[in-house]
Amino acid sequence: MKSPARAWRGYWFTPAPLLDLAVARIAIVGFELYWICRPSFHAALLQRTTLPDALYDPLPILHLLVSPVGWSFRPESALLELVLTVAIVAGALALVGLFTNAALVLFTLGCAFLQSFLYSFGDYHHPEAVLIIGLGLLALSPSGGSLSLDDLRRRLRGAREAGRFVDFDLKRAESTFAGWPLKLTGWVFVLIYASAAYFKLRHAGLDWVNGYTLRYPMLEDALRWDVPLGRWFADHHLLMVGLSWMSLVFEATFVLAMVVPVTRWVLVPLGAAFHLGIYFTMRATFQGYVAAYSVFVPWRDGLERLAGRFGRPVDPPRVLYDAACPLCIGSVTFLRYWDWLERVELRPLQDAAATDEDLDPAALRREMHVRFPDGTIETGFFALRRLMRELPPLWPVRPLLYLPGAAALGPRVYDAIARRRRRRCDGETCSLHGPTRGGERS
Amino acid sequence: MEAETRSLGRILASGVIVLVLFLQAIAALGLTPGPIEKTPFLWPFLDYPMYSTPHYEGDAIPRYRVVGTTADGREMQIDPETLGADFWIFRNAFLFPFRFRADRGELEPGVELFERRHGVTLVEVRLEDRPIVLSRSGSSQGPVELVGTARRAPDGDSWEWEVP
Repeated sequence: MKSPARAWRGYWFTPAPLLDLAVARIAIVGFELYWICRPSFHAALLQRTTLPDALYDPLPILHLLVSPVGWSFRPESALLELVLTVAIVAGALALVGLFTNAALVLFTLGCAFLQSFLYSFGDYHHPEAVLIIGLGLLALSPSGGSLSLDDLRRRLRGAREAGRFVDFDLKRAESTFAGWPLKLTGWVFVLIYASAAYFKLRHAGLDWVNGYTLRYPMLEDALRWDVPLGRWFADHHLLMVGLSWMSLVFEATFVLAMVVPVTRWVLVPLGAAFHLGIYFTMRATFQGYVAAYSVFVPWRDGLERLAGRFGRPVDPPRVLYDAACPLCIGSVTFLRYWDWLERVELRPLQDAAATDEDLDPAALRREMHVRFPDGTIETGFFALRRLMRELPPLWPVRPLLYLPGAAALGPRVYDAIARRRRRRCDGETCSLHGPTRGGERS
Repeated sequence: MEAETRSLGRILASGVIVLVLFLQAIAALGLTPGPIEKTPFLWPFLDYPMYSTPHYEGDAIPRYRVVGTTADGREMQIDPETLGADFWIFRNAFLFPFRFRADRGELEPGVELFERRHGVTLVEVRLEDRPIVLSRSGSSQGPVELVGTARRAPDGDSWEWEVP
């Protein structure tokens, strides 16, 4: 039998995919960033600065956050604007994963400060709480270890130091510290739902599922916020009895999502429908929960399945790159970073077997060549543009390369960069096109 | 060295895990110290008792209307829009004082906000309810009733309450 310490370590610190943690970072930060960027959030902050001091009743966490300038200090609009700006910048950095942990710390503190200020006037709500907790946990974890500029920079640096392209698969990267923030956020969800079920049963017992108990707040909110769909639901008694049962059973059994992971396939979509449903009927803004549900999804496994089904072609596009050129090594490292479905083959042109006889070696060194499965060969900008079709994560930027003028400008930019690249020649550094230190040309 | 760092990391992370679970568990059960009704002591660790009050056939959902009377005798509707605040601020300042005796001190700041915005002096605030009544077959309009009236006391600083 395992010792408790070993069981604890085994549960919380078993190596887990960094990719799963990274997706949770993107989902939670992305939602929270959207939340604080809304004009209505900004307006609510400013509107509260106009309220009389008598209505100001700061949350304890706000007391703590402002304590360096005074325990009862009341932030004014200039400070709130500053914190909002810093939080947005930090959130954007955390989203793309640049200086990830520092950015996440700032973002979490900024969001906690702003949200707690909004809730310091005698009223508070629940939707943001789990997101703030989740953000704090992400800040303490290696959540920038994948799908981040930090990780990409680290891999580029590694390739530069190794002097060669070091192949990798993003899906395989794991860490002993990648699992605990996801599991802990999952358990926070369990406690939240258990709390909701506990209070329902404590205050109402099984009367909670009599239909009227749910109809009451639904109609109240639907009338208050003028939501016709909520009014329609609230006027259908039997439907509301069914929904009451569903809500209560869902909340009381959500713990299964953590102890019997296969139940997530039912509970997580049900929860998403539940929270979106109460938004569309009651305007209760729990959409952030859906983003935070990302902690329950095995993203790596899903991507593996996708790669098995849509990736790893028998005859993949073959990228021929110059292994003696640091810029080319960086470029293929970049390409591999987005090749989640393993659809591209990367081959150094120095590899005799890889060098196609019909290609001019000098041309191969001058710019990237890609041989596509249909036999066509594209070079430089056009190769890159066509190759992006194989890399779904880059699809959002692909249309930019087809804008009017891109076909004329793209090759020039590519050539300008390619001309400046340097090659290593037997331990020395030499230019591809210009004179080298020894006056030779490569 | 790396093993030591990892071990230290595990210890620190374990501390965070225990702390977060402990805080969320006591909050979830409503065991947090301090006045949790309005200023949750452990925010963002919260309890989730909303929508837990039982309701039955015949229960009335209140739909309030707040009317202020100015010193020159005019009646003005007070709502989130005319107050220049969101619904929750409006609720705390103008609805709760009539429903909960402990919240009567909230009226004055709300009135002050309204007066400043409209350049008037209120001498009376009245709360009416036009409820919706739940029945098995749907919902219907209930009778209009006066919930209460608050009148400014002669000293000008306090309010006299008339709540049946």
